[in-house]
Amino acid sequence: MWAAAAVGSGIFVLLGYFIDYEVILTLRLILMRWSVLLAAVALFLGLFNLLTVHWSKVSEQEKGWPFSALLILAFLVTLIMGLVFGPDNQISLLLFNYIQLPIEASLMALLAVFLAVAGFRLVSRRRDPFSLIFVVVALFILLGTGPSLGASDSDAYILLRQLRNWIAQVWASGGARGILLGVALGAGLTGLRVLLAVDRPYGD
Amino acid sequence: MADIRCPMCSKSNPEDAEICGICGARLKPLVIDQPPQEQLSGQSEEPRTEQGAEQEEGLDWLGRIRAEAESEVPKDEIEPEETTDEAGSPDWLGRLREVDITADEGPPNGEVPDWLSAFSEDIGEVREPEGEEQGWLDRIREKNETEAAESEEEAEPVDDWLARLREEEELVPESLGADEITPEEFPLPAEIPAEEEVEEQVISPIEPMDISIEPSEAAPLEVVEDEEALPEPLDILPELTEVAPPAVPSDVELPSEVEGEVEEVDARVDEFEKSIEDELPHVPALILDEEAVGEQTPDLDLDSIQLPGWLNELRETTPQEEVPGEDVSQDLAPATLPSWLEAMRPIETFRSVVEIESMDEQVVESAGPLAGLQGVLMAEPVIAIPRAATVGAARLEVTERQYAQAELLHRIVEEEDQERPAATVRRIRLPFLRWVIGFLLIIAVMLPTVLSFKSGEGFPLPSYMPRDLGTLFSVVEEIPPERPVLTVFDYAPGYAGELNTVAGPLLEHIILRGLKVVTVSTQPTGSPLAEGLLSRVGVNGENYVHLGYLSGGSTAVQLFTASPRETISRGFLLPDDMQSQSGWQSPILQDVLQLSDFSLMVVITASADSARTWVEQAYPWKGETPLVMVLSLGTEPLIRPYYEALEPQVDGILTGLPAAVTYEQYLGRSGDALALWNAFGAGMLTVELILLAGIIYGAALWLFRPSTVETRSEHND
Amino acid sequence: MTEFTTLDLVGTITAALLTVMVLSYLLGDNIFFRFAVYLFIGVAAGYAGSIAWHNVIWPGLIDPLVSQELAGFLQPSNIVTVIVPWLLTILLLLKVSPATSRYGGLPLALLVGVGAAVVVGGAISGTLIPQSLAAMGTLTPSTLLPQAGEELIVWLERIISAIIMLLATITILMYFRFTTRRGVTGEARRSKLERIAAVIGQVFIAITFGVMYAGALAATVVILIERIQFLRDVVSSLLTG
Repeated sequence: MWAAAAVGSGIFVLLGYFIDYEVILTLRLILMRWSVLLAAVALFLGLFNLLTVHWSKVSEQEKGWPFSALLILAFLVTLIMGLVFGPDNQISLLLFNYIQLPIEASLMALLAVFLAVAGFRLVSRRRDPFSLIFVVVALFILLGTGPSLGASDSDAYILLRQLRNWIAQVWASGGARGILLGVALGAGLTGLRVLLAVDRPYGD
Repeated sequence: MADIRCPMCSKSNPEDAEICGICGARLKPLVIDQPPQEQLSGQSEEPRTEQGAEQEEGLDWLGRIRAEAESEVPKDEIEPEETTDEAGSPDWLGRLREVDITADEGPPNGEVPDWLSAFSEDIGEVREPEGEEQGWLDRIREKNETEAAESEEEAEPVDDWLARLREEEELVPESLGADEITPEEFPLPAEIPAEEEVEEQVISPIEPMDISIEPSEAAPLEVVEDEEALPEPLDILPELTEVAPPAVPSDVELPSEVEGEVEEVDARVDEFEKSIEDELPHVPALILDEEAVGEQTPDLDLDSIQLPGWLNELRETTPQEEVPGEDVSQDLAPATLPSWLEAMRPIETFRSVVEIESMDEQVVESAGPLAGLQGVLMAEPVIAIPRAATVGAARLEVTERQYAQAELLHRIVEEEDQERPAATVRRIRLPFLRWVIGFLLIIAVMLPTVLSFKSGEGFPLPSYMPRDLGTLFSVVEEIPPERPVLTVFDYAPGYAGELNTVAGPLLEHIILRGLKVVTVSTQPTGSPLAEGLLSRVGVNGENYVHLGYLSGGSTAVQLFTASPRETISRGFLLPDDMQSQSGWQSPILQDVLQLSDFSLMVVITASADSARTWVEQAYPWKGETPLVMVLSLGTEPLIRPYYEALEPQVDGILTGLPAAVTYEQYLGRSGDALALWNAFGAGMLTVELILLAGIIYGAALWLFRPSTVETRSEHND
Repeated sequence: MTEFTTLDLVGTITAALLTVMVLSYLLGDNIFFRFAVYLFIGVAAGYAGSIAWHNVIWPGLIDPLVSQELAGFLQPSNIVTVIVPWLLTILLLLKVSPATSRYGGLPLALLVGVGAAVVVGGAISGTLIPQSLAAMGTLTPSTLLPQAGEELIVWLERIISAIIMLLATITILMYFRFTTRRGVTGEARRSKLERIAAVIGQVFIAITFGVMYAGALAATVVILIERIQFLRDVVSSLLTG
């Protein structure tokens, strides 16, 4: 029965891409509106699950339970403030701007070091031509992306930038098109498997 | 004449004798072309009628008596064979059937002597003897004359047994049994009656009614008690029993002196027939030669039958003959068996004797699939009742060495469960490489930041405008100012440091042109990020308005692009002067009904999936509205194919700090991009050097690798 | 330099401390880093929930129910806008308990079905067809023929670029074709052309990923620079008062 609901709703939405018929378009919009609403409810269910997992860690006094307690405290304070005063109130924005944003940005900044370490180790650990091509191309792109060591209008720098653009906008672009086509084919087939009820992630 | 010694009883017999005169065993093997035997054997294979069975029964009774005397099988063990008997018969009768008689000593199959045929008048079919078989009586007469001369234990004259029939109406054969009735006891007729007398004697067919004949037929067996010789037909009967039930001729003339007796016996036969059908117990007989007894004997209750005294005597002897084997074996001399017979002897381990309990004593099976049946092997307690395994009664003898080995094995197994402490030498691996690279990188980006290079110092600024930037400039410059610009903030707060820097000049350019900006996001944090960026270049409510959060990923994008006003109903951080909580009520959006009503779409994202989603979903609905993408440097390669097409789906791309710096230079404004330029240069230089060092290090490792490693890797390849 | 209010000052200092705590992971995993991460998860989850409630759930479910009068509630249009969404929401909430979770299959099926259709439709109409046309249009006569006033070197570069883009697209698609014939001994058997094309495709994949890696590295360097500059600003503000 659930498969029938998934297939039926999917077919109507898919037909709307190709058929300009009033009834289909209207039904399509209704189904998508319900889906958007249910996605928000599902987000709430996910948050509830997060809360229960860490609550059980605190109640069972498992290893690292103080951090779980901190998480629960931060979650409840932020949620209550946002529910009561709204997410665009000053306190919620303070919490966002001075806690969430700097921490997340710092986590992303750590990536610079780890990516550099990974680039350094790549050739020494994977000695194959493709790894060498990977690192050499990356070096060329970085050389062409960053500022010039000398004059920015020097021939060398101009040649370097043109080489960088040629690699990025021709070689990589052609490869990216192939990857995009492959990704689109895969995504389309995966979606069709769901629409044909071959895959049933919602259960039987 | 040379004598033939009987293989069973070791008694001497005439040379031409086919069967032993004492025990009835065959002296010469059966030959197929022998007419009497062939006929009899042929008849034995035919389905017999009841009347034929009666006849066979009648002729075999004497033979059975003899066989029973020799047999070691108690009557009680004969029961399983009851299914082969059409009519049940007492054990003693069954044993009678076992007697092996030669064809020469009895009438051919289907033929009954005249003296017996009188008993079978009311019984049924009678097989007519063939003319060529009339000589058998002569042969029998000769043989009996010979035997009578040698043996003292000869049967009485015929008249004697007939006299007994008249005198004793009820006689229970008490001593009729293999253990008691010996061939010597069998009253062999001392004088062979006249041929006509023999012919007139009737042997009734074998059937339930046959029993009626048997008592009368057994009447001559009273000679056992009186040691009277049985008439010749009695000698003949075992042979007939072996091959086939001979037919009783209906037209046999009885001698006058026996005719009355026959009538009396007939009456008793009738009486006997009526009572046996319901009352005769079914006593299965152990028949060694199944061919000899193809008939089925009915159950027989001798108590209900008025039998001659000698028969009663025979019957009384039946219960006592449960284990006749020993006595018989004591009476019988050991036999010298021919080789062919020896080969036929069952193996020693074969249990030829099956003790069968009586029906009353048999236990009814109560468990298993055979529940309710009698006479079956009991399932309990061996199978049905589960029981715990018992310890072997035999004690296991273990030597000292074996015991020690078992202990050692047990100790080894126990050690497997024990946790052993980890190796004491513990090497702490410090992330030196991470420390070095991190230190270098932080120092590299910190120095320009700390040293505060002024503009123009440090790394040189970009001196030419990239092709992509020129296209973007054109797009932004050509959009009409009366329609708002839709800006999608689809990046995580972690990328705010880069994308805020890169998108800042573009948004500033848009606002500087007087265009209004409408923001939307599929991320929960998109609206606050938009507020943080746009608040630097404009005023909320005047220059920009936040429509809010789109929940549902690609579905929400498709819904928004298809029907924007019905998708988002609540804005974010709306101006206080707005009554409604929906951003669509803002004056900025008063003329916007669908996606194509926006003058420009700007998607700011660091995710290739998000960028691809907006391109795919918005492309059919945006119409002539240009789509511009502000991308992170790592995302640009995957979105460029949408841009590098004959009919591009993306009309402009802005990516990377150098492009932002150039943009700011074009605008003539100093923004965050310029502030990061020197640090960016230093950082990029450091990273380039790190990568170069990694390439050199890897190449050096590969060039100067040990030869053993190379050889091993070659072998593996 | 931005002027900080008290609240902003406290917030800025907090942000700076949290930044340092996160960057301390470069030295190794420590309690400060964990503290900052767990705090971040809690705040981010709470803020996402509040956004979802205010922007979607309240106006989509509760506001129509509260604002409607009883008479208006029974209108047929509310079946689509109120009643059915409420029913679906209640069914989805039943997913919380294992005993009733099977009833939540219907809203999940709706979500999955609609989402799959959107993905399929977008992939076909937004990527497969346009990108295939773009690939086919790479070597059209209009592309191959030299344009007026175009230099030879430029024209050659355009031709070579078009050929390289087409070659890259085709060889990468051939590399991702993992369905081959099975040989006599059971191993995967590819034709020589397929093997050569797959190797060339791997080269283009390495180039594409190399470009992406360089871009990601440059982006994270910019983010690191922004964080370092933030810390510098905070320190300088504190030092200068």
